[in-house]
Amino acid sequence: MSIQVGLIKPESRFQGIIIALLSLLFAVIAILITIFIFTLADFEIDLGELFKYAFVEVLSDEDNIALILFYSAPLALAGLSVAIAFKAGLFNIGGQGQMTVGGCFAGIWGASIVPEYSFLSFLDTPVLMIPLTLFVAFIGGGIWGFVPGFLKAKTGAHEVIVTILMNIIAFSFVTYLVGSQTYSPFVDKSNINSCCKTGIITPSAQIPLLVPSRSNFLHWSIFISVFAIIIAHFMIFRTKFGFRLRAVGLNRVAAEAAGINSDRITIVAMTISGGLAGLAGAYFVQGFAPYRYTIGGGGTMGFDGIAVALIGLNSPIGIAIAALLFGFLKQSKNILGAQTEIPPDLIFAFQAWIILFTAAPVIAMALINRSRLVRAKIYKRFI
Amino acid sequence: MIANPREAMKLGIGMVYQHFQLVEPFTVTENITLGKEFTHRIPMGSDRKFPSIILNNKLASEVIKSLSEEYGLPINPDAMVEDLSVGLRQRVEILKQLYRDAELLILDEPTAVLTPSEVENLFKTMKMLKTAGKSLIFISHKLREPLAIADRIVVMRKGKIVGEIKPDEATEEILAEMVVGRKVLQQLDRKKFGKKEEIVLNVQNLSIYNPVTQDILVKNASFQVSKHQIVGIAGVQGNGQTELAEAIVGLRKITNGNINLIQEDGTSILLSDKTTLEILNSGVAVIPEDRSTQGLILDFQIDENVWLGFHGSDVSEINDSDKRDQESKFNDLMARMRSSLMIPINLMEKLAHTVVDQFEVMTVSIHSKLRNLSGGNQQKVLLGREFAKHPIFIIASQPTRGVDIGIMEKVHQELINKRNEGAAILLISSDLDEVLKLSDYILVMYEGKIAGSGGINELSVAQISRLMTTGRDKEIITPEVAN
Repeated sequence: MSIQVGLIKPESRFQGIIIALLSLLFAVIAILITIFIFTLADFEIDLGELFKYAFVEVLSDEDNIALILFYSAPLALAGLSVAIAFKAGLFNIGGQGQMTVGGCFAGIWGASIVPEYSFLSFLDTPVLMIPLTLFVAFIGGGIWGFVPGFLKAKTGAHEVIVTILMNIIAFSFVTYLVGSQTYSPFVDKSNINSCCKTGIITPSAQIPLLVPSRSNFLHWSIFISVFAIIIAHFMIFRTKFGFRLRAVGLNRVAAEAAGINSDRITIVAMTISGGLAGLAGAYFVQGFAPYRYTIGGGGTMGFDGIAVALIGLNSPIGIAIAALLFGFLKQSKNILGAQTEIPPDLIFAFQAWIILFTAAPVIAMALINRSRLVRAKIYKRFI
Repeated sequence: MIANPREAMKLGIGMVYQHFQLVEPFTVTENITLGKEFTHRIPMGSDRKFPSIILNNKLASEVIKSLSEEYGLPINPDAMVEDLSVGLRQRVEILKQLYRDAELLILDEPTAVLTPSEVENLFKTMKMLKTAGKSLIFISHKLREPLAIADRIVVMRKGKIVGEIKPDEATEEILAEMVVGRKVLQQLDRKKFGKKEEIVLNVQNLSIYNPVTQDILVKNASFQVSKHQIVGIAGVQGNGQTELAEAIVGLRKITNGNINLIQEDGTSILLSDKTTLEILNSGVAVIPEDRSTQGLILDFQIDENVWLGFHGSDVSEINDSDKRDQESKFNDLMARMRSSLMIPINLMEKLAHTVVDQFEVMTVSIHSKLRNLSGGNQQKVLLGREFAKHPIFIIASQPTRGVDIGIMEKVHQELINKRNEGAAILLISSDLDEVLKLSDYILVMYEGKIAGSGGINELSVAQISRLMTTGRDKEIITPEVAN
């Protein structure tokens, strides 16, 4: 089979990766400038110390590496959640709310519902309980994703607005469920200290430690993220659904003209997106030491997912790498805070620089184009 | 070097874009004076006046009126632009440039949206501007027009100037050859087919209203398209053709009437009950009006774009069926699952190769993004995809918009080939030449109604032109004018 050569524009498959790496490099330069400005203001930061604790220390200690993985896994889930919605042309910033509801549902299901109703006791084996609890979390987050998706498809309500509002509803809803010692239905009323959290989930729903002798943090639950990344990659690029998802995301009108039901795709994509964020919530219930849902548990992982997806260029593999980077930075911050005088907020500033340079790829693009021009000039000179 | 449009304006260069740059809910005056408005001036002392920030609409509209009379381009300066016809909007664009003292006017494809009579008027205006001392650059892809109006013709091909010619030395054939770079056959080889009529598409009393404003978009349209027949719909854009095409493929709700597709085996399908996907899978091919927004996804690769036409059909199962017999039940189940879940990548690539080969698409690989192809090559991919469906019925809306003559010729020939193979084709085009060249039967649409129809030899060009602009085929002297 012949293909005629008539290239209009050069294409590069690696352009995205180059942009990401350049952005990272720029961020490093920018943080060095930030530190320099600190120095000008008589706030000395020892670069050697910073490097030693924020980089060498974090990567050389077994416990720290375990913690990096521990943080990366939910970040990857939250990032995937944003990316799948984004592939369908939707911006899901409700990850935090979806994660909250997912985690709360998992906690209630594992701590209150299954132990309380005797007819459910047949479920109480790890083989059934672990996936089932994850599924409940997926459903919980999924409902919080379905509503904005449904409203977007049927009424055109903008998903950004609706997901922000759904976040607030999620926090209030969870507060109702477990936030009050007196009124909440799923709080142990006999125990005065049980406010703002569910009971401890039944042992069969708890995900065991990966290597109990080495780390108290790393559970088998990191493989939820690994599987999610593989399945998401496969789904987006190989399945019919993924094909339709991308078609709708890139050009809704053309997709509809080709007979794709874009409303259905919107709803399903948002539901899956919410479900993945819900799994990130379950991660902090089933695979994290007291094994219970606590209000505020998991921090702002849901929001951090947006940054992860952005830096991972919305591709599952990129998200895995970006999640590791963010997990690493999170642990650096912990170390800086615990062992040095250096303000850990410096890491925040670094994260912000990374996001800034990735979100504005103009700078990196300009550099790439410039190098291309220079290359062309050199090429001309020698030929 | 001219760095930006403002500098160009200062130098006296004015451009009339193909897509008008007008603010529709503004009046003509407001549009023309935008950026250089008239303000009330407050008298300060004897002869000094202090410019204020308050708009002086009355003065502006007087100035515009006198400007329009000076150049013989009559227009009501207080009319809303959204109420104006396309020809008048173009006049506003030209006046806008004249108001800014443009000495050199660039007209980019100004005739693309006009009816034949409006083109006449435009040419009159251009001649008048020439005598008024302005220079004009007229860009067109229709060969006849520069021959009729220009003093000098410059031919461009792929960004390069390939030649210059005087119109009295040139003919359409010479120009076409310069544009394409090789001999162009203006004659199409088309066979005649007998009177044996097998109706494929039957549209009866079709009416479409705008769901929000209840405006009538298409009114009581009835027509048939038979096998071996190209039915051309002529008409100025925006007279209901778009809506008609959308209704046939199920993208728009119809208010009244029936659309039936009669398949090869004689069964008739009521298209208005079906979803778009079902319609496309029952042998209908669509070449939409705007390929980059409706037909193709520019950020998809070629193979993915080709697959877009087949993603809902059962091609994969048909091709696997012969292998499946020997396989065990479990494998059978797996294969079934795979074909219902996954994209058959091999098949997709094979299809893309076929399309690329058959339509001579210029590309590095089938994995190139469509955005990196030229407009003509994008159109070839679209055509290749639609024709690969072996359709029994084809809707082609503006199939040659924005492509060069070489590709236009190819598209026309492919359409004729499909007709000869037995497809029924509904051709919608605002280019009257195209309709006249390809059609066996012509419908003229005016304000959503089918104003006139007839075989290719029954209607004269003048008649069609009149139908397109007035909806009547004879000049009727209205009493007001007669008095």
